[in-house]
Amino acid sequence: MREMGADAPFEPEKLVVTVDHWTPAESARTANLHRGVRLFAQEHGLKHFYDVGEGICHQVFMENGHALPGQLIMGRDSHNTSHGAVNALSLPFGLTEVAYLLAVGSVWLRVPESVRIHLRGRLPRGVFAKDAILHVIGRVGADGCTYKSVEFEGDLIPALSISERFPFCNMAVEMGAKAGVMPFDKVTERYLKGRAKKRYRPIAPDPGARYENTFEFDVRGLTPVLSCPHTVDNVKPVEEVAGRTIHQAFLGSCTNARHDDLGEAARVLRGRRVHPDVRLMVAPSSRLEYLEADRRGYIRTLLEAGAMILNPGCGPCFGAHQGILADGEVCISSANRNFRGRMGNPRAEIYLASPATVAASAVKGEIADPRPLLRGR
Amino acid sequence: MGIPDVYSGEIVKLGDDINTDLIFPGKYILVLDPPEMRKHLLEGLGEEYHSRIKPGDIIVAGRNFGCGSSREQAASAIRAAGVPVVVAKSFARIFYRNAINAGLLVLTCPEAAEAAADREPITVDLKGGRIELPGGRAFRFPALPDFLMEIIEAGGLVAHGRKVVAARRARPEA
Amino acid sequence: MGQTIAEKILSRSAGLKGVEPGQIIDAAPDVIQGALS
Repeated sequence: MREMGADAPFEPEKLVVTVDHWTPAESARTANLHRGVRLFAQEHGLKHFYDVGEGICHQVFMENGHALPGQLIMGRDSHNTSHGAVNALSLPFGLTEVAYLLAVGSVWLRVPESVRIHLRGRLPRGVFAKDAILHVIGRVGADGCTYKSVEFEGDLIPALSISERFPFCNMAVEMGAKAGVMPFDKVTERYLKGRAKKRYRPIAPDPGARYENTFEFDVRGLTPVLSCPHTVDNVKPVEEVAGRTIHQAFLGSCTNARHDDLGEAARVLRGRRVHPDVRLMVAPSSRLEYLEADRRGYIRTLLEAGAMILNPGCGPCFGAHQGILADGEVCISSANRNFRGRMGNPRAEIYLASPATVAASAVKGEIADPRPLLRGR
Repeated sequence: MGIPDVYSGEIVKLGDDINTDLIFPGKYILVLDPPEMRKHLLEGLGEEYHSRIKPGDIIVAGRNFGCGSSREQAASAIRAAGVPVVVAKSFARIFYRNAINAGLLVLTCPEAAEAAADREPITVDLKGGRIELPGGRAFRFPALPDFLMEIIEAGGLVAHGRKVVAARRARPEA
Repeated sequence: MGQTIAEKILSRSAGLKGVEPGQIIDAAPDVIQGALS
C-alpha cells in the first residue's frame, strides 16, 4: 500500500483485520510480522482489529456482524467466499490487489457468470452439511465452477443453520468458484439479530436471471463421504475407504470448527476414548465458539475422550506450525484442503470429512462410518 | 508513461496448457529481481530456454496459457525478459489477472495463435486491433477494456495505484 | 433483463444499472477483509 504512495488506508472504517495464521507466533519472524500488523492497526486507528487468539478471520468476521446480506466483500484469503452464507457476495483477491484496494478503495474485476446448485431434500441421519458439499465437489470437479458465482438454492437450505450453510460457501472455492452465495431467509435474519451493526438489504435473483448452468442434487440418498488424497474432488463414500489406518485427526479450520461441529464430534466421543494410536487435535474456530462449546459441555467431553484442545486459529490446517505429520502418516481432517504437503509433510496423506466422521475415525483408529456410533445418541 | 501503438517482434511459439511452473518454476519464488528473474523464464521447457528470448520478442501460445498455480511471478518474469505482449488462444483466469496487474499485455486471438510459426515476425497493432503475420495475413482481436489498458499503460497495478493516489492528493477534497 | 445475485451486487458496487458476465468493472467493496498473517 505504501509503495503506491498511500500513507493510510483510503477508508479505514471498511477494513477488518484478524491475525489468525501462525497464532500464537512460533518464531521471531512470525512474531515480528504480527507486531507489524498490530502497529499498522494502531497507527491507522483501525476500529475492527482482532488480535491473536480471537480466532480464524472468516469466523470472527461473520460472528461480529461484518458480513451482511447484499454486501460486496473483498478479502485476501481464498476462503473469503465463506460470507456468502449470509447472502453477501464475498470475493477473494491477491495480496497486491488488496493493497491496491486499501490505497484506492476499488479494484477491477471481471463479472463472473453465475451458476446454480440446487439442493433438494433433507440430510439423512449421520450425514451432515460437510458431506453434502464434498459430494457436490466430487461430482462437479475442482474446476467445475471456475470463476463462477455459485448460487445455492433448493428446499434443503431453509433446514440449514448459518453454521451449516458456511461450509458450502467456504468450499465453493474448491470447485474453482469466485463466490458462493446462499439465499436470505428467516434463519439469516435470526443470526444477524444482535450481530448486524448496520441496516442491510438482502439480495435475491430476478425471475429472468440467466445462469450458465444448474447442477441438481438430491441429498436424501447421501452417505458420509471423504475427500481422499490428494485432491478435494477425489471424493469417495466412507464404505470405500473405511478401515484405512489413521494417525492423526484434526477438528478445526474455518470450514467446520464451530460449537455445533464440536458438538457433532462430542456426540460420537461421549463415553468413548480416542484410539491409543491416534492424536486428536481440536481447534475451535473462534473464542466465542470455544466459549459456547464449553458452555454446552462439549470441551469437557472432548478432553475426557483424550483430545488436545488448541487455541482458536488456523493452526494445523495449512501445515505451518502445529500438528505436522510424520512421513507416511495419515490424517483425517474437518478442514478444506488436502493437497500433498498441505499439513506440512508431502510424505503424508490427508482425508477431509465431517466432524462426525473425524470423531468416529479417531475412536476406531481407522477411517470409520460415524452412523453406527451415533445410533441412539 | 505510455505504451507503443504497435509492437513488432519475433515470435516465440508455445503450445497448449503452458502452466506457471513451466513459465517460472516454483523453486525460484523468492527471486524477485528482474535481471535474475529473466534467467529462469520458461525454464520448465529447458534450462537455457531463456537465452533464446530477447527483449521485444512476442510470445504466441495455444490454449489455457498460464494455467496451474496462481504465482504472480509467472507474469512479471515475462515482462522482466522484455517480452511486452503475449498472444494466445486462451488464458487461464488467474494468470490473465496477474498479467494485467503486472503490466503485461495479454491478447486473445485464437486464429492468429493457430497461424503463427516460431521465429517468424509478428506485428501487433493495438490501435487498429489487428495482428499481422508474414504473407499479408491479418487477424482481428477484441480490444482490451479502457480500464485495463490504463493499468497496462501505467506499467501495472501498483504503478496505477500510485497515479490514482497522487491524483487524489492533487485534487482538493470535494 | 433479470440479474443474478452477483450481477446485482456488482452493479451497485460499480455504480452501474446492470452488468453482464465478462464485463470488466471497477468495484468498490462495502468491507475489506484483511487477514494479515
